[in-house]
Amino acid sequence: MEFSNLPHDILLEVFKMCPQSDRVKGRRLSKRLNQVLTSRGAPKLVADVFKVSAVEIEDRCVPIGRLNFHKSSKTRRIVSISLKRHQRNERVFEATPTTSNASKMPKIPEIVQQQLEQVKIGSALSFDGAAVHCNTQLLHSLLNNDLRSVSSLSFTMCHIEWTDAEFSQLVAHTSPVDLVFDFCHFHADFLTDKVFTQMPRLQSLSVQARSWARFPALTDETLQGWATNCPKSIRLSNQVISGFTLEGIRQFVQNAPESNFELDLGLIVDTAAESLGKILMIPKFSVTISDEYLSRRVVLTKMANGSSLPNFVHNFSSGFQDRQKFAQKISFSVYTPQISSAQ
Amino acid sequence: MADGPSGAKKCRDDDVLFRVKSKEDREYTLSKKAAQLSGTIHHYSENYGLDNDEAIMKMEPMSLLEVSSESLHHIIRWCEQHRNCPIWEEEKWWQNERDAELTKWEDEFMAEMTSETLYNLFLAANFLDIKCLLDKCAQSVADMIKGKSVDEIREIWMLENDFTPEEEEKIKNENPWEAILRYQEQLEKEKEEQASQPAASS
Repeated sequence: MEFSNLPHDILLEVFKMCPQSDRVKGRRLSKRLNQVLTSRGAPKLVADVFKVSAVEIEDRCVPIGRLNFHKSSKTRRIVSISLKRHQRNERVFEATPTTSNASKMPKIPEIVQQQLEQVKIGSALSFDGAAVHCNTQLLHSLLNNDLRSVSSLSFTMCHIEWTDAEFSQLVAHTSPVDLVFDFCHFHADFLTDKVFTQMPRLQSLSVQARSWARFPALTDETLQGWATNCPKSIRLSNQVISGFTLEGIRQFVQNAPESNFELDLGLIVDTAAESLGKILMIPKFSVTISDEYLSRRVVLTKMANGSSLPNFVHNFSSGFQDRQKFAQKISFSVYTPQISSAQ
Repeated sequence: MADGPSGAKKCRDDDVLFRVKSKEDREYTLSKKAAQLSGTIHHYSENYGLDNDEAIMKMEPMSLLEVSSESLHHIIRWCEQHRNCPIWEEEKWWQNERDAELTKWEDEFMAEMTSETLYNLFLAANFLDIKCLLDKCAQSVADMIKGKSVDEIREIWMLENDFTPEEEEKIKNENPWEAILRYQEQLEKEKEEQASQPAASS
């Protein structure tokens, strides 16, 4: 029987029962089945990683011999979307608008929306490139889709323009275990306590800013939450200023769970010098303090067997300490006005 | 027509019977409980006031102009066998509550079907909105093509390739999943080979 004559809805039900590979083959069977499988209600194919890249490059004049003329003022934007499944990367979209068609080119949120109509993200959503602006339009494009299985969110070199309420929405639609912001430009104070209360499964966070980034609404409340459910790795670069206080860190260290973790809490601005003294007195932890430009670096470590390293070991061997041996490590830079004025 | 797998349930004498008529004008009956599996019959009952046993007993046969006698016969067998299952409105109940005996009966029932019967049964189940049967038919049709090549599927589904070679090549090259899944298949093959090697050497 010619099963391709079955009604559209029935064919969709059949293909929903088929493995992904058969659905891909289905598109080559006939024009009708191709149309069924690319229609709006068609079952989506699952990609492990959905990566959006957008970069802007400057057009250069063609050099003549050794002569290289001035840079052109024209810039070109290259947008691409690639999917990864079983370690295999495949580009599904690439556009390089020229000056003549730039106005007709769809914007990144539209491209993302268009691609996500056919693809379901299996585990990771990644944005890469200085031309990616994570704004309200992009958020809406993402939230129109099923993102429940997204456990890894990664942003590299992007402009993060989301407010904390917008980022909370994204977090609520996903289930982040890994969250990475690498060399991003942060336009708003979007990392707040509220955002982190929505990430109970978070295991790894990395925030590295392109310039100074302030998150005053990320306070000791988040540290208290981590004291009961601690991520394995937090890495805030020392250009990231949070609202954590020394007293909050002391309380966290005292109540810290027995699990292994390595937290770098970035730069803390705290005027209470006595709090630093209290941190030095925390039992079972070895504390080292070193001077940095305008701040002091504090590292607290506890060995896997529960003992702390004697201080001279840190002073002597900081270059070859085996990180794997630490059961718990908390580090941060503390900026105090007294210290900086004395320097 | 065959009575089907052993142990098939049939209407009992004390059942309240629904009367239905195939497109060949042949009349059939099915129990009220079995009829509850069909969304179409449910809506018909609501519209024609068949909300009590007396009204059902006095009803005129419901014409099913899109259902052949053969398909209707199979549909009634399916519905009678599933008469104690949740009614048509409940979605995907069959995914949670699997009665081993019922599953066995369903498998035997589907195994009886030729391609043509299955095709007609699928359309009839769609017309009568019997979700559990639709699901089973979809699964059977999907099983026909599982793991087969494009040419094999075309042969099984009696499909004509209406693409020009250029169009076919374009679809093949433009669809990134082709490359991804080819790679996946290659990985799976390699894994299978690796798994079979120690067994062969031992």
